[in-house]
Amino acid sequence: MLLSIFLFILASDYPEMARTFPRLVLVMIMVVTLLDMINLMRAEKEKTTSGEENDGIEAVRPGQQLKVLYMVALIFIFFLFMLLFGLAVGIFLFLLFSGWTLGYRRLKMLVFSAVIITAFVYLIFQVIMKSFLPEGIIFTLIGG
Amino acid sequence: MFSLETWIPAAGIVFQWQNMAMVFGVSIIGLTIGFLPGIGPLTALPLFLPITYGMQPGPALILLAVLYMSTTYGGSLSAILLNTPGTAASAATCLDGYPMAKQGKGGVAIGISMMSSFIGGFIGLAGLIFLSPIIADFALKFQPAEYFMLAVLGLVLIASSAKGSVLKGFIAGGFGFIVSSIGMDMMTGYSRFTFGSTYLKGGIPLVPMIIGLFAFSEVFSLIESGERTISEKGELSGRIIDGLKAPFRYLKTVVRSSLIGLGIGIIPGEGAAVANFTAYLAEARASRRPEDFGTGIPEGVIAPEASNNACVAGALIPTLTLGIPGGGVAAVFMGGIMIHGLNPGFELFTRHQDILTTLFVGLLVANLLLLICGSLLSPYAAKVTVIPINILAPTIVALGVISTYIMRSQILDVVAAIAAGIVGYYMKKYGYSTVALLVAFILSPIAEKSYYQAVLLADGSYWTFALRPISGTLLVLTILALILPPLLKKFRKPEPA
Repeated sequence: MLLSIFLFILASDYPEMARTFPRLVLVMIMVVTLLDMINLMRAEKEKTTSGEENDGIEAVRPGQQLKVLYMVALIFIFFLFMLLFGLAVGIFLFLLFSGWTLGYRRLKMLVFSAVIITAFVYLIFQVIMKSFLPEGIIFTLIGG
Repeated sequence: MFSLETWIPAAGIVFQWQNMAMVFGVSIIGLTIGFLPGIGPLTALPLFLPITYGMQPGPALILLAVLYMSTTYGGSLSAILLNTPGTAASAATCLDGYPMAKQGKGGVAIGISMMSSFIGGFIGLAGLIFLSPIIADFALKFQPAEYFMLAVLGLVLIASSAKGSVLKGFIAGGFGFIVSSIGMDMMTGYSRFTFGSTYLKGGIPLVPMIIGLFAFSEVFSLIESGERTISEKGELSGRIIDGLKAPFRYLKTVVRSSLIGLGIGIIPGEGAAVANFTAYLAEARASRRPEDFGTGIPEGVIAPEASNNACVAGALIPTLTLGIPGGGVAAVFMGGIMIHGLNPGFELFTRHQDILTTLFVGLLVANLLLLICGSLLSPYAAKVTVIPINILAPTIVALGVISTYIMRSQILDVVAAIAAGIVGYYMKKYGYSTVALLVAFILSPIAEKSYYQAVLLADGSYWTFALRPISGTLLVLTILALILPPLLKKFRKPEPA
């Protein structure tokens, strides 16, 4: 709701043709959000009187939420690996690193799967598709 | 209707060894991915979207469509063997498929599923081939007012059929409209909601949105689930060949369920998830022994399987003819069409008939190949579920990052995909439909442009949306789609306890 109000105010400076449609949609969002809030409050009230459990929305588990944040960090790390070492080495290192840090401890299996997946990805993106992917800053520096 | 001259070259393209190898390879990959519970076509298609960049449009669309079909096929295997549907499209298959597996007839159930899917897919494709040109021809009568109303109706149907609260479906859809309006306005050239960012001036690209909303958010959910593997089992019992013969003894069931699937697929928002349960319930109602449903009978597997595959083809009808995606996967598919510079609708059916016929021939061939591959590979596919999530999640992430990056070689695209992934993850968590967001994101430019054009053509009058015959009908349908579901809910008599 707050975001919609903020964007609605922001759009008021735009020329008429550029602002009409977004503002129309923002008003719709505000109205629907308001209705949703009323519904939510009504449901909360009924729940407190009947003592029912909330089964509509998943409960937030702080420990597991941290894991998600951790995964987001890992995505950035992968991207860093890819820029530094190129696609093949980057993806291999990332799979080893992320598998291990996510709690997988069978090293042989981890290395085996990393090799297979790296080979598959390299074949598809680099050999068949000839995609433009970072060659790896480190290798470029070494190669001069 | 398409002329014979377009079908022969199309067959020539499809039967080129590279394309046949692609169809075969993608079928296997799709079956395997579909087998993984929770990882369905909505996760798979975005990852494969960038692979199609360098391809000709025909084979590119075949790749995406085959992946769509094969993941739906694969989803049924885990429903039968693990009582865990790979996708919601196979949820009803669990009801009789899993009891059959428990009775030592898992292979038979898979055979039934494969043959029913094949026949259902074939009927669906026949519907796609014969109905699409008729609908596309009708679309010729559409002017901006009709396109605007069609976009609104499509969004209303998808938002109101979203899981959970309808209101949340609309909020998600509205949010999709706003995200799509970020960047330079196409009518005035004015920058909207960019906050001074040069990157945002170009708008949020479609591919990072799709990969983030579906692939990354799924990874986050997998990680959060805390499970070690998707399943502990990985075996198959019973003869597949016995199952392959069974649907021919229940042809009425196969045809009825396929037609239900096709019909439901055509309605935007009503996907295979609805089709498989509707067909299952319709079959149980029509049966002389409804009490046997749920105990492990062939009709209980045939009905959902024939309908969900017919529905896949049905969902492509509004996508190809009107540019209104039939559902989430069809929206990604439409993204694939747009990436290749094609515009769904009448233009696709007149100027690019060759591409369409290539797609249709490819789908027919893929349907047959899936039957063969599925029957041969099912015992091995069962092993996939024991892949640890600690390996699976990083693999999806790596593929997602590469797929996002190769489109424009822009680091900020990866950041956008991650942001979309986080948004998608929390949306799912709090019951907001990511599909409604994506459909609105895709439809927004069409809706906005058509809105202004319609108003300009009508000299500033908004009555044009109500007074033009087709547009007015669409407006009435939109209003009905908005008010009927809550009214029906209110007046429906409560079931006796």
